[in-house]
Amino acid sequence: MIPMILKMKILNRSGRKTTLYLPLFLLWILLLPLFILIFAILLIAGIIAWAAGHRYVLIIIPLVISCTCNLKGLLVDVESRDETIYMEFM
Amino acid sequence: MSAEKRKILEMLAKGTITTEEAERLLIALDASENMQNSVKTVTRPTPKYLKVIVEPAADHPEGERVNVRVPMNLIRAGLKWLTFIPKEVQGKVESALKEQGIDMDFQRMKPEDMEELVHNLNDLQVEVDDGKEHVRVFCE
Repeated sequence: MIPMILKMKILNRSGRKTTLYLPLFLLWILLLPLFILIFAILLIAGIIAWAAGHRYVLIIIPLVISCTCNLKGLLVDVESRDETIYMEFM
Repeated sequence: MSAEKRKILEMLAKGTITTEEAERLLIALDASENMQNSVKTVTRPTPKYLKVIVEPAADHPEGERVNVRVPMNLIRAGLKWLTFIPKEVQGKVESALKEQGIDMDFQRMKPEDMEELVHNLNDLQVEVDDGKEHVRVFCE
């Protein structure tokens, strides 16, 4: 599933805690027209590159989409003496 | 009572089979059911996440704590990038793995091999303790 929200928490030494919920779904909506345009250009470029023997250009598109769509659930939480950073794709 | 057992008893009642034959059939049926049950208990759920946890040792509390949870689907997607590793680098990785006793050929790796690799990560459990930090890698 494609991540819809990115939750970020930053806690610094002074005890100030910042929690951010970044609405990724808005980003996807904004990027969709751009993506469709880029996708068409990439597809043409990929087909030309495929004919020239560079097959990876065409393969790279579904791989990038696949990685982006599977980011949901990724969690990184680093807690040091000075700072705590928490990031979760939801 | 299962449908198979009922059928055997019906056949016995009608006289189609003898008592000994019915007994043999019931024993065979029980053995088959037991085998199916044991297979069910062996089957484990597919792990959803790979977790990496780093914790400082009790006598080094100033150390960093790290908790990383990577979805298995992201690992599956990431493994597909293996095809983009240049051949000369693949050769170096393969020879390094061979030195460790792991025979791996990236060129011949198929999607089903990748799936098997990810599925077998379920058994993965790495624990490293160097006195300062305790690192755990496991699937859940």
